[in-house]
Amino acid sequence: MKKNSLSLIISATILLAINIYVFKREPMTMGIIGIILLLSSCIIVMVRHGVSRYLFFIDEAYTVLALSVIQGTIFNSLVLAILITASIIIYLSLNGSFDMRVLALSSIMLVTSIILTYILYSLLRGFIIMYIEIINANIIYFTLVLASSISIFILFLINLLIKELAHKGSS
Amino acid sequence: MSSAIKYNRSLIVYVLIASLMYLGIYMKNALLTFVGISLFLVFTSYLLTWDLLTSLSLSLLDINDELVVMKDHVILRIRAKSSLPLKIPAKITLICSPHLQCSNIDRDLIINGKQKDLDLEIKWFGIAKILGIVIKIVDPMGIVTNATFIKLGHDVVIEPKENAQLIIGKGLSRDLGNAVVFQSRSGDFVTLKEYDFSEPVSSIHWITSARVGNLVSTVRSEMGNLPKLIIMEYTPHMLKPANKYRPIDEALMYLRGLRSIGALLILIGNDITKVMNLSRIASLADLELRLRVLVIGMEGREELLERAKRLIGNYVNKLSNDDLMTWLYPVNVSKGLSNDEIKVLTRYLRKDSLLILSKESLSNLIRSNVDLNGAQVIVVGEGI
Repeated sequence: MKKNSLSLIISATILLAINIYVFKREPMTMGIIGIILLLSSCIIVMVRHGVSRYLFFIDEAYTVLALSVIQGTIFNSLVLAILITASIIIYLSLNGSFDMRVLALSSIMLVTSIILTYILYSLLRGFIIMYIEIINANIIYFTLVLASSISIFILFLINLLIKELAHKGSS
Repeated sequence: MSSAIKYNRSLIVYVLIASLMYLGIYMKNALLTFVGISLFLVFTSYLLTWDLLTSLSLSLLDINDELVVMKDHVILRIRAKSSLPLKIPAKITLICSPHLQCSNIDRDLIINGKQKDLDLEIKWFGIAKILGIVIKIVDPMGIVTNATFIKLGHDVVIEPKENAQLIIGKGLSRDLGNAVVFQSRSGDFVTLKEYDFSEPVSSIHWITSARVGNLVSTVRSEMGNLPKLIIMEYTPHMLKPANKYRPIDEALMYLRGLRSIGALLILIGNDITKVMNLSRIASLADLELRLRVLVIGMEGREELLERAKRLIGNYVNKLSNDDLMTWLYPVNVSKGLSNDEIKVLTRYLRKDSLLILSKESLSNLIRSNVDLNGAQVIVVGEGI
């Protein structure tokens, strides 16, 4: 089986599972539209494989839109977000847009960034409350976004440092 | 539109991710925020890892290279080994002087992969410089690019072709086909043969005819004299490419053919006059390099640096002045024989001398009423 088809099948299956979840929630129409969209995309891809990339991202965007409308718990949202991210990553890696070996190695950095985000979130949450109340935004979400950005920034600095050391060591 | 997307992929990806995150905050939607954050962390971790790995791989890179010079080709064998045990596909750009066709090579190289043979076609004669290679690693999405310049510094000596055949006749000669360098002087005795009545009576060798009782004639060489003095133009004009070869390439081919006769060579141009014995010149290719370095020395250093920067970017800082002089090709200086040099040339010009010069300089000689009667003139640079 071609990697292209495999990536599409796996990613579309994940999206279908999410759309079935949406279908069981209110409003049901969003789920029905999502499932029809996915199935019709599969038929179109069978006839014209060249459009698979565009259709995949349209389906992905629609699924995110449908999920944003329905109400769910934080835990459910986290699981669904991971599923959506997984479907994108699987599609891109099996398609050759991501290097599998580098992706596997990047898990070290990913885990580090998640740990850093959690630590920074815990540190920043209490400090940021008074500033956020002024602009009436959600403290948890805002702090999470800020913490993830700072954690990536820290990793970026560490990256630069390692590169600089390696460069000096080689010259 | 498609090119705008292609060159701004990273921007588009991060604008989309940021939009998701901030929409999530604005709408107080957990899912959008989480999708945004997870995509942000996964994508950035992947790109940072790619950047780190490729940077490390390039800084720990060791290039093993070997040069094989063949008749019309130069084969550069390259193997890129990195201490980081990862096979990474890369693109290479070979930086060399225009004597070699370096642009149309297969540019794919795998770091820690197999040896790569780069087949470079020889274009001109002289001393070509293979300065180095730029190794570029781009991630499959085309977002992160890392590159390094590895200096090789090979000097490839390309002597003029051995099989170059030429005619040296009286007057103007440009044809290189179907002829050899003549070994005899005009009127030299070659052999005796039976007299043919279509031949002039003066060719009959009476003494031999009387002895054998039959009319016998002498066969004499009809070829022109071989020159004992070669005067060659040595100006920037000789480096100006014309068709396949430059004038200097043609001139070197002639010199290659005439090397065995032990003529004296006088180089005139660039305010210098150099006299040397042609048969004692170790490398004719060296004559090209010396002229090239002389001419490029007339261009300003700042100008050379600017040109080098356009070709290899900031890697130019790794190059010495000598590298620049032998790698870059002179393009801005164009001049032939000056009036003073024509006077010098006239002083040396004899009836049995051979003049090798460009068309422009020949026109200058004619305008200056230089008597070329009796001299053999070869005009180079009109294409072979």
